Amino acid sequence: MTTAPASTRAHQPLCLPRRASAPVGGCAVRFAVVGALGYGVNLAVFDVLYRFGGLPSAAAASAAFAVAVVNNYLWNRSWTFRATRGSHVGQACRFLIVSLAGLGVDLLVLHVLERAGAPGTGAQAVAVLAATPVTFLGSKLWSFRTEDVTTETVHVLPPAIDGPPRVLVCLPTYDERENLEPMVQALRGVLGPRDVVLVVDDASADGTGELADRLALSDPNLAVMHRPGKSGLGRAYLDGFRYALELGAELVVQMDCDFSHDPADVPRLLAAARDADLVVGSRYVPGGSADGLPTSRKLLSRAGCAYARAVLGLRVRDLTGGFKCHRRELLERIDLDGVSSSGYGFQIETTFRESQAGARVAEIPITFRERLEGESKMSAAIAVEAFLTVPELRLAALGAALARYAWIVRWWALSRALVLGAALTVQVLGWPRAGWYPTVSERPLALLGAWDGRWYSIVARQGYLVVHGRQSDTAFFPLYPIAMRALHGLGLSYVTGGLVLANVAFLVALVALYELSRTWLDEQAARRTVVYAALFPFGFVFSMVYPEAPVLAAVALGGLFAVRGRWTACAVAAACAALLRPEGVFLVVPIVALVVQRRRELAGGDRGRALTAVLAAPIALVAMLFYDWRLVGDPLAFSHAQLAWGRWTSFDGIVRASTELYSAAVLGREWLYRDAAFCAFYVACLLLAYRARVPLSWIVAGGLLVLLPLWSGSFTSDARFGLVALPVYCGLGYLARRRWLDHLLRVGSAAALTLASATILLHWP
Amino acid sequence: MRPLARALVAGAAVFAAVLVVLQVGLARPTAAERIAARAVSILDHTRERGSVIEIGTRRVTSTCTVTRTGAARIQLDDGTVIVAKGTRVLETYRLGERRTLALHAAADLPAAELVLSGSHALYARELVDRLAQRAVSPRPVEYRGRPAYALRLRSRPPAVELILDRRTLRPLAAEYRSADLRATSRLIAARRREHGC
Repeated sequence: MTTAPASTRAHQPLCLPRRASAPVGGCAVRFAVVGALGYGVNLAVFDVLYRFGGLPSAAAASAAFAVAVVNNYLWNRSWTFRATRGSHVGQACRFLIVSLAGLGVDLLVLHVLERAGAPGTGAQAVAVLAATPVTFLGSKLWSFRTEDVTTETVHVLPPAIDGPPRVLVCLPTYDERENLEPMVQALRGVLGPRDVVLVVDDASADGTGELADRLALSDPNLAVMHRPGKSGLGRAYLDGFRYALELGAELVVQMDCDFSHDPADVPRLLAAARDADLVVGSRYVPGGSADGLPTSRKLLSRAGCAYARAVLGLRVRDLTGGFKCHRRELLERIDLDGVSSSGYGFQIETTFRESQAGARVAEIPITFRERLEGESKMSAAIAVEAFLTVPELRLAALGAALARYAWIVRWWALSRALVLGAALTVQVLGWPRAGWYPTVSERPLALLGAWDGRWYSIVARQGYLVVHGRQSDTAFFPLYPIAMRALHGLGLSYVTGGLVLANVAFLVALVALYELSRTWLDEQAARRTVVYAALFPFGFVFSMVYPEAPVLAAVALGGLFAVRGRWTACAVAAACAALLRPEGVFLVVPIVALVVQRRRELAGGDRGRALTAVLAAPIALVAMLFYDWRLVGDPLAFSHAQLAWGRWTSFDGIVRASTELYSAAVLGREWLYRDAAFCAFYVACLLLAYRARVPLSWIVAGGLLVLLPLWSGSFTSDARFGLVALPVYCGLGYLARRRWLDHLLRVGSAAALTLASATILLHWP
Repeated sequence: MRPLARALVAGAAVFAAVLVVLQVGLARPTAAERIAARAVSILDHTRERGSVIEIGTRRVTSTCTVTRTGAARIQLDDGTVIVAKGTRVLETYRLGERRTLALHAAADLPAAELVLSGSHALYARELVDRLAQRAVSPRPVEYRGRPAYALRLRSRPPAVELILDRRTLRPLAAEYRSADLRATSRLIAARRREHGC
């Protein structure tokens, strides 16, 4: 097995990557975007603390400034300048100084301009412009400066075994002389003949490195990496991982050298790696413990895990433990050079990156003990770094996602520009009813708050007030007006809040629709699906004070979470869908189908969560009925309220709907033809989607969304109801496989969307 | 069983969470608004046969019916007939004369007679408008020894107030006040199968 006597082995130089140079292009634009975001955050926090918290204005302003600075710091570090490899402490201090300098310039210019007689708002605008170059240059050249070092040479004493190792155990050391030899011996006792132990020593002052070299002389399976100085646990692991990949190890185990991780647990870790890409030795799953830790460390660790789990959306229970086994393919999938944390945040970051890369993660219980010899390396600076790393990782992931979905944002922006532009144009022209519009300066985009938007604003403002037998507001489901009310609390008008909600939700819906449709269709068809959803002729409703965009987002997210097995998130989305519109409850159909399909794969905990996802929408609906019953004495108030509009659900509803359609022209309801045409179009698209292999459960849900409202005796608004039937867009995406047809549909849809937006006032949606 | 039990517990949590969101997130109508909403419902489901109107020293009895077109036809015992839909007077004439009397926008007398004759459609319409403006405030009063609410139906002059039985919320009386005129009426409820408006 050994190729050469150990005594003939010699240290070899190894070049390892270090800091990469920072990207330059687009910095200024990103800086401006972050600045605008920080401004919004500042105002929002101030408003919440001052208006609702009752804080004095100076205290609220100070807190708002602090939150805004932290917000800007995190965004600028991870997105604007991408300087995530530097130390948080240094960068944060420098950024704070630069921010204060910027504030000083701002106040100075403001003072000068006001003395010169400039109006307050205009003077502040100029002052902000004057301060921006100062903060930008300060941030770029000082706060987030990056070094150009790209490689560093370390010396490695390689193992003396034949061929690539099966397992490599990476042991970072710094002043671990007392623990090293017993640890290596204990590992040799549990590892196989083709397994390697790699000691990564950071130039320990107590001679740990030399001891490792001496041990290696008699142990061909022991490798030693000498690094020039102490540069953090994370860097040591990364260098160890890179070397393991170079050697060709199949599994890479990381653990501490101080016996806080028991070497006897390594075989269990390796066994679990047969069915997982990442195995985490966990203190916080049943059977695991951290008895050796002092209570303060235990609390810190628990709180850190809970915090990281909540912010990063991870399901791993022990995120700060460092006893893990990585599969080679997984380490190759993640960007090791991009890992920025050097202390304990490294454990969180690697697990997060690996989860993002689609790792199958298993947790096995371990007992964590306090170190046998030597001193703990834990410090306040390491804890702070770990604390700051978590939101930074979330922001970085968000930034990466934004870059990945940039094309969706472009289609969203284009389609919304058509709708908003058309609405604004007819308001300026006063067409078709000049007297209806308020002035543009008073209420721009008033058109988009018309029709049901008025009702949602009423519910947001005053809640439900049922007057039996009359047009009443219980027909308008509560979650959307509740969200409008929340935004109103931040200073937006109800209509503006509703518009912001609807348009942002539509962007979220498009992204979720894209990800969901990719699971059914090929990439090109999925992209077309999103484009047609954005340009759909009746899609102007997605930009009105209507809940259709939030429902579409909730339904698409619910479906996506279900497909990805994130049942708790799916349950939340389903409950939201049911509280946004009654049709949202139909999301239960595809969820049930998916749960039945995967019932054998679901483990105990997941089975309970999946059942919750199935029940969430109906339970949310029942809770709302219960609320109505308590409030107005009628659990079906939402349905009875529609009587005033001449709609009620009955078996002969479809006959009544057909009769009404037949006499539409006589009744002066010509727009019913539009709704009936859209209804037929939706059914055709659903059939196309079925042909494109969209799951039958989604087709059924879509069919219910489109056809069930007809049982209330009218085609009225069916064009709008069908908008949330996701497979309709998939059917269109499938249909337009030929390029000429695709182009024709895009141009035609865009024109129809613009025209429909301009004529909102003629016929209700 | 354990997954089912977990799901049921989580379902109960969803139920509770939704109730909390609705309770905290939605504004709730005031007691006054709830009374007014119930009063509209009562007005929609009951009718008045007419009323006894007192305008200064003059006392007239009115009879109120609903025409086939849904308008209220009010006939006073002095022979005056007023036809109105909601708050809009369509025509007014004297019995036997078949001559439409001149209508003035600010005609106080026919307006008072219309308002005091007991048309529930008129009262309900005014009350719904007040509710939409969130401007209802029933005032506890006593009417002929009975506990009652006085509910103001208009914010601008002429002031119109409806007196409702505090227990049943049935209208008992109405009051009309303008700069030149002050009038009251006692409403006469229609019995079952009786005509009324």
